[in-house]
Amino acid sequence: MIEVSDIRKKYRRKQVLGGVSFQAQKGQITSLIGLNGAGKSTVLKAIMGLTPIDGGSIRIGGQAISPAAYNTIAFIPDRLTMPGSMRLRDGLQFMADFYPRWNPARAEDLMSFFRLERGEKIGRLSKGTAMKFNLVLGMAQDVDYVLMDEPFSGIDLFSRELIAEVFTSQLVEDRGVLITTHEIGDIEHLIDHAVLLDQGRVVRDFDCEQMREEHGKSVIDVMREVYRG
Amino acid sequence: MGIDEWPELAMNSRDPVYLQVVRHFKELIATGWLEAGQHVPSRRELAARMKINPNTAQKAYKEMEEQQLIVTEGNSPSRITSDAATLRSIRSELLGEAVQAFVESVRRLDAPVEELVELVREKYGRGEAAAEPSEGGPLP
Amino acid sequence: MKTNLIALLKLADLEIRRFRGILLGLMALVALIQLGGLSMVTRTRLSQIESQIERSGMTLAEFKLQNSGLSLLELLGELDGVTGVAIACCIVVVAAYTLIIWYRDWFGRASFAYRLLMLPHPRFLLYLSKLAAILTFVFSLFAWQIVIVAGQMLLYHVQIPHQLRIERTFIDTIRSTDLVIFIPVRLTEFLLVYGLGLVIVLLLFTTALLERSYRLKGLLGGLALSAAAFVLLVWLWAGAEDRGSFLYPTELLALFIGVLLVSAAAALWLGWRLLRGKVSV
Repeated sequence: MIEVSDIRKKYRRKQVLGGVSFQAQKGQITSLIGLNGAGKSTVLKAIMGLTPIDGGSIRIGGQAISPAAYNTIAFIPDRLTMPGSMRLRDGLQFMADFYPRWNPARAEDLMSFFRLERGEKIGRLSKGTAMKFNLVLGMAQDVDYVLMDEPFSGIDLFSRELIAEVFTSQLVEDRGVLITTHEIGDIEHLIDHAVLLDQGRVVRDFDCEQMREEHGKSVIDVMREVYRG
Repeated sequence: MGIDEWPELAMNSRDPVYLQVVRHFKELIATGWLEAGQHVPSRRELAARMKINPNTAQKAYKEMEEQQLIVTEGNSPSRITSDAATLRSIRSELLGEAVQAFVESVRRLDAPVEELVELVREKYGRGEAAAEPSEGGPLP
Repeated sequence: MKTNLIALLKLADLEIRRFRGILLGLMALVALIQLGGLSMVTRTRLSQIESQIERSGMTLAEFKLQNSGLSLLELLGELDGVTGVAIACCIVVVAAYTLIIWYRDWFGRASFAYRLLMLPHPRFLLYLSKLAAILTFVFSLFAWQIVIVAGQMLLYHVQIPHQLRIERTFIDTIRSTDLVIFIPVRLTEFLLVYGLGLVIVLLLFTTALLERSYRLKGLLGGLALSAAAFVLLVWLWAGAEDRGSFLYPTELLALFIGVLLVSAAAALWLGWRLLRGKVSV
């Protein structure tokens, strides 16, 4: 379980996170939903130890983030963070070199699923293809938790469909997946749990199937209440 | 069973996904696409085929087991029930629901039952006649 | 431990491959300036001598007896400004790259910093790998300077007629030019010059990390700290050269080394702390 408790962060006098708490369970897909600037990316970066927080605590499987924890949690940022001069095969080799939990067979499967060419230069990839390769780099690690920042944003329809299929496969089974998005459309049927963020605070936190069963509301219905109400 | 040809389900976003899957199974059973005693796909296959989260597939199968639509014996894969009473009840349940929906929508029009029955008979007959030729032979 | 060492070597290798182009370009430029410059100076001098000989009707041997020969040092002496430009190029590029090696990971289109900071190894390895890369850079240039001096000696032999040559050894040639500061032939000099260089690199690294952690405030703090250490060191160095100093040269030397060690330790410690919990992408 990823446990985020009361994390706070200020950036240039602006309160980016004003006491955010939620949990992302292992074996579930949790979506952190919010409009642009709600603080979603900052939460993911804070979980990964990529930006310091001013207060609160973050635990991953009961442990604080540390270099050793990077063997149990993978982050797929909103851009492909590999030097553009590398070719895809160099990128895969980089991962194999540095990550003990890298799974080359799975990387292979994903490369062919997304039809990626190993000889291509990373800097030349289109946005959709770059995100696919980004998913390969994150998903081919044998880790318990995977964090994704806006995997669908700015990408063509067919790439989005292909990426969404990742969430229906064994790639997400038994893992905890935490995904941020500002447009839920692509994955509304796929997420187990939704956490709605607004101006650095959690405004709703619910189980999606339970919400449909007990209140007959879709995730978008709840979003509409929160962000338009 | 041609799992690649698994009929697509257009989901709505307000009903629980697992219940939509259960209902989809009932329709496949009632229309004969799934047969009594037939193996059902694994949870993983179902998730991939129906483009749902593996957790939801799991939950749908659990619900179907509770409703005795599928049965699992020991370690072998689950099968569609062969229990005639259950199969009949699926058909009547779906039929009942469809008629219920129909009745609700026409009641607002305040039409006499005789007129409706006549209309249904006419449309239903025409639909069958239109459907039959395309069933067997090749398309013109 | 072993896996960390392997990771460090791989990271350093990656860093070196990333600046390979810049280093090779710089080496080519420096060689061109120093060898080309020498060749030009030599040709000018030779044509002067030739016209002198023609006018006076002497032979080359007679000319040498009267005017002494044409030494490499004399030629290099005329080239002083040019050599200075080459060395300055190296220093500027190394200094700039000491900062670029960090900032390219943050501001490059790829934001490679994300990936590097999430490696399942201690983050201090990044610091050490970049340091190793810079040192490789510097020592490659250092070794290249020696090669260039050898090249200059070769050029001297090719261009100057043997009647005019004044033979000197390789070490003598290096020792008697201004290059001696950058190619120290004595161990203590080598350690002092490169120790000072190393500390400057560490201070710049830590300043970059302070800036990445606390932005403008960090940058100002880092610069103030680096400047203070640098001024102290330069003052001690100058004191050692000044005979009327309050302290004996050996005492000044000890103090200088002490300050070097303290600055290095402080920069490394701060860098380690910042990387562990303060840097932000």
